[in-house]
Amino acid sequence: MWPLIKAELSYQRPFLVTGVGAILAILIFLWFSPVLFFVPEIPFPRRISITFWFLFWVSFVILMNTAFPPQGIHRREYRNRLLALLPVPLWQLGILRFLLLISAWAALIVIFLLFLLCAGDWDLFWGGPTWPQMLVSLSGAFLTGSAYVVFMTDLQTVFPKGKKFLRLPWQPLLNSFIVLSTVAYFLAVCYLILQSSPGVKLSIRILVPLVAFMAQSWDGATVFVLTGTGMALASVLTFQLRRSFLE
Amino acid sequence: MTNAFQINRMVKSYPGFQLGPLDLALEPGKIMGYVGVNGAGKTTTMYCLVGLVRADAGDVRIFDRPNDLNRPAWKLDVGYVGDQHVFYERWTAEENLNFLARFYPSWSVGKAQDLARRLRLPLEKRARDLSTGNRVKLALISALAHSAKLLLLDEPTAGLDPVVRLEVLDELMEVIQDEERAIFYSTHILADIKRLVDDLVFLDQGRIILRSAKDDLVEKWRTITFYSDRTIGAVEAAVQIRHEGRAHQVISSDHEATLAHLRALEVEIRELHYLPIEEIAVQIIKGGSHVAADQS
Repeated sequence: MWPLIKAELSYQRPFLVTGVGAILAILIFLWFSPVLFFVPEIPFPRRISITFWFLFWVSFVILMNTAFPPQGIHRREYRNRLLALLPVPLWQLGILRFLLLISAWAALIVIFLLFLLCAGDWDLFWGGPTWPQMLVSLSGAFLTGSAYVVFMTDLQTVFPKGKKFLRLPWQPLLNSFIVLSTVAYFLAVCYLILQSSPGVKLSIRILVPLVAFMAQSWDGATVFVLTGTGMALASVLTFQLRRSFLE
Repeated sequence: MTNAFQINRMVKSYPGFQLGPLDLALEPGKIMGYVGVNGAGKTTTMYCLVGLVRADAGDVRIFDRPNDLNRPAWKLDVGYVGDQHVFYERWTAEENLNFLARFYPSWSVGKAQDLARRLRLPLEKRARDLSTGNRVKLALISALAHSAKLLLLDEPTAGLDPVVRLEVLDELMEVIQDEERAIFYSTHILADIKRLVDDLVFLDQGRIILRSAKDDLVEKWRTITFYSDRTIGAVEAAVQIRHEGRAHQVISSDHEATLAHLRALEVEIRELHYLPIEEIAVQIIKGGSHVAADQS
């Protein structure tokens, strides 16, 4: 399986470098803006809040890109059609698919934790009310979401007509949403950081009900992670049950 | 003797179409043409053979091993060129070949390079920048460089312009004649492979209507021209009859039976000609199971 992982990472290198570069730029701005850009320091709770929403947004984009691979801009590559022909057991391809999907998220979390460490806010974070739990919950939710997306993709090979329903007309709308939300996020972050705190308060007031849905206890986080792990294992199984690898 | 592949009672259904139940085997070293119109089920058969699509019923064995996707050792013996050529698009042709080389212990870099030279494939170009013809060439090299004992070719020249098609076919003929291997070549243009094939299998609406040695078909089919003043009705083994005054021309799927019948009618037989294999194939495909039944 290692040659496959190596090949895929090497193949995706330009995108990974660009993506990680952009994420790093945003995190640097969030965590070191007072030092680097001579702007007022954002209080730690707000910084964490913005970062969490950023992580949430990135995870959403990753999942949407997986569920609805971009078409038109790039040639669709039908990776399964290529890989399924190789003399590699199917279960390994199932694991590979999942590992590649969550690798971007894992890298993001590692980067975030490094920033915490570098910014000297490690104790604030771990000693905070529910932030570690929320981070684990978010990771568990991403794990669950990823497994759900690949699970649904597998299911479409059993019910091919469903695929058509999912692709049209939702895909162009979702792609537009991803592009617009990217721009909006950048603008919002810049505005919130450089201007004033009322905007932050307003956004928090709007977002609090959503945040409330996220688990803020270790029990909740554990449930997220266990559900995600279970679904990930199930997705390796559903990959092996696919009727077709033409997509 | 272990067959290169063995398909037993295989069925694959889609809405409005069913392939099979299919029984088919290819002996090692043989070259089999798989002929049928578009939509007859040729590509589905190929997909089921290589495991890209799972059959609903029946089983497929490659060199006596089930084509189990979790025990993929059988894939080492198979080279496949499909109807679509899938690569890592941003990689060069050479990078794609290097990637594949990691999975096949018998992969020969020298052979891949030699094939690329013979086929005039620009290895340094990215896959996405290759022309359709060059993509076919890259797919062929991918299938040939690990010396597969079974080559599955699914209309590899489809979509190519006539010049490139002939160029690819000529090179392919040369390359595949160099080594002893079983080849299963699906096509609807029999002219492409008439020089190569030992056996022909005709597929119509998901069912095999005829399997025959190419030479047997050529030997049995004839165009017979005869004269008669009488009105000629049905003729034994006649696939097609044309009348022009006293002259009548019959395409016969079994010339001995036809001649015996005509002699009994006491007509004047003037000419007897062999039929080109592609014309025979056209007649079989056009006539479907009705014509094919006469051959068995």
